Amino acid sequence: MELYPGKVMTLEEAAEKHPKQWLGVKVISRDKESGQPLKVKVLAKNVDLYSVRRNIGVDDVCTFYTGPIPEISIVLMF
Amino acid sequence: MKLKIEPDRPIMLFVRVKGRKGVREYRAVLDTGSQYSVIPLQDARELGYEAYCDPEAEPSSGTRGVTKSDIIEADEIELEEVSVADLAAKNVKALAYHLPRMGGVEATLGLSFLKNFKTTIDYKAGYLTIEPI
Repeated sequence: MELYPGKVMTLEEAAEKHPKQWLGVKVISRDKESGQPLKVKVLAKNVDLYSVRRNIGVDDVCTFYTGPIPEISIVLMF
Repeated sequence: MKLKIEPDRPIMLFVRVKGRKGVREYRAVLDTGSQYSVIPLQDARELGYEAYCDPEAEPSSGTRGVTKSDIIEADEIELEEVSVADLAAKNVKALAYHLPRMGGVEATLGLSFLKNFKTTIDYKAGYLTIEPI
């Protein structure tokens, strides 16, 4: 588990810098049309989502996976 | 709300979920075939929802859900507020359930949210739009 005061970067930059990991980020700015995060500050990263969760606060934290989805040849349907 | 989408890819969008103890945001899969939305069990608890069903520890204690490949058991909860961009829906029914980790997806956005809006998936133009009704 890695925790650090990350610098502000775009979502794409964060994914490129930390490939195939779960990130816990603070959203800094959003796209006006879609409302999706544009710039984020990485608070935590790990290959295990639950390690990230255990180390970030509850309030207003955004988590996502930076690898391809689906990661393997599965189809998600719920 | 207008989001660029790609053919042959799942439609993913960031969704904010509010509980009495805080707010969390996930990259969720848009699932027009699902009656409910899904958020992680652990987060449901941490956000203040009563979600106790742990199928591994206590079988047959929750609401049953049918997926393409399985029948799952999970707690049915009512989310105080779910929002995408500036569109917010209150009292959104959801299941508190851990989706398979290898999928890279934590949450799904189902009809319990979408029924509050007009949703258009336009693959020709390459956009998903969600608008107030």
